[in-house]
Amino acid sequence: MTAQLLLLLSADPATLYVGAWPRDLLVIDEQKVAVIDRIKLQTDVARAIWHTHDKKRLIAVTTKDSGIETIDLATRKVVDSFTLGTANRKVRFGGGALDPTDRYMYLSATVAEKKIDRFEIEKPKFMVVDLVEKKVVRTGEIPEKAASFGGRGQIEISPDGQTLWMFRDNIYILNTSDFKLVETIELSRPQFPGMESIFLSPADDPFDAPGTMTAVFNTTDPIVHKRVWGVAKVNLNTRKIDFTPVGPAVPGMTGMRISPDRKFGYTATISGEHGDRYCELVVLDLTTRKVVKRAQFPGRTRFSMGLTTDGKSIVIYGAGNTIEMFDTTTLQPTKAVDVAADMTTSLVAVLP
Amino acid sequence: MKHLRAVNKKARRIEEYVAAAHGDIYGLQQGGPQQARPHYPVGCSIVFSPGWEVDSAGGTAGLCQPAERDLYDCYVTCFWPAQVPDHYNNYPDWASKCASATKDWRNIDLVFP
Repeated sequence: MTAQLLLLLSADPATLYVGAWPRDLLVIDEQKVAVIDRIKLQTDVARAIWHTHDKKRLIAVTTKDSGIETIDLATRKVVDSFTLGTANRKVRFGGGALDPTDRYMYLSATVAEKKIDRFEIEKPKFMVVDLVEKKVVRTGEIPEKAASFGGRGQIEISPDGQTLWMFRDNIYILNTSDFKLVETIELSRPQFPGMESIFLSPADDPFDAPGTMTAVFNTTDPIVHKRVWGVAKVNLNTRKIDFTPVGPAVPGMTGMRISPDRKFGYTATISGEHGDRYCELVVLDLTTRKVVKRAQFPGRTRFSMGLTTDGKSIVIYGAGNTIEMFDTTTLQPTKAVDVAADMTTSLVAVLP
Repeated sequence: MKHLRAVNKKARRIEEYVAAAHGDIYGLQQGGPQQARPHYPVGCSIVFSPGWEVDSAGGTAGLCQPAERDLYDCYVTCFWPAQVPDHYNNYPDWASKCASATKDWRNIDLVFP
């Protein structure tokens, strides 16, 4: 599960939530950038969190015994908690997404069972977890083409709940009813002139138009194999992808974050390595798809990037216990906060 | 494998095929050949030498600063089975007194399996 900052569209200050060691959910006032509460989880440290579509609850999956917890945001309390694993049967989650009703959670998972003389590792599969009945109500095989990398990878459910999207070496679209593969968007052989295989990094950005995902991608041209990066718009309803190459590729990039007015995109690039490594914040004009500003910043070896709900600050967080804010206009640091706990999930923002 | 040489037509065709694949044209942006690096066969986690994490060049410049910043995250996502306690099975509470490894690492449980 990728660690990305997820923020909701709002003019009002939001409350941020993030999982942290040892088994806390930190509640952060976005405007003050200060921890205002800590919710104690019951099963273990959170590995990923999602907000429900009605924005009243958070769903957290935890590490040990594969726990799933429901947190009521009004009372800031865990209202439901159960585990899918046992001491001898571990369920390792790969990716996950809530269906539009918020009742079912779709997970890709691998089960490892400890026998008396061996471990048996099952094939990666889809699990549909009923959050009301607190159990797995349906499983399905991950199609062979999509099952590489242990079934891990980002999952999205289409707005109508009919299809499940797996973002991997290609994009696999499956029926949610029977997990049959209905379409494969071949990123390794894209139908786009001047491109070889494409590597897409989609981000679930709330500022995106409904049913669309904006992503950065990397590709190479087929003549001299020059690597370039660009911006792709994925339409989850029409299944069309619009690619726009932007510039020479760099070794590393974070996912793109979009301003509330959808005019600008923000990403962080990582160039060089080890002692020569340096990071830049990049601002992209989404109308012209051109880079309009960039500035170097002291990036950590590993970090996630996000944008505040007002679009005024870029947030750099994890690995570790600090959150750093950068002004989106000047790209200069404005604030650094110690949250006194190492963060383990993406930041999720919910409106008051 | 450089001491092997093709002795029949099929083997020579394989050699030509491999050479053709490597002899393609590449843009200058891709840079020159990579320098030789230390060989860590399965990453940093299962070797005891030097006893803790190293980056892919065998040094520490590519690690988080300080290295403790990365302790928990690397455990959750990458696993350091040799160096940290087994959170999943036997020592789930090894970090229960330490929220921030950079600041409170002295509170992490020592485990002697």
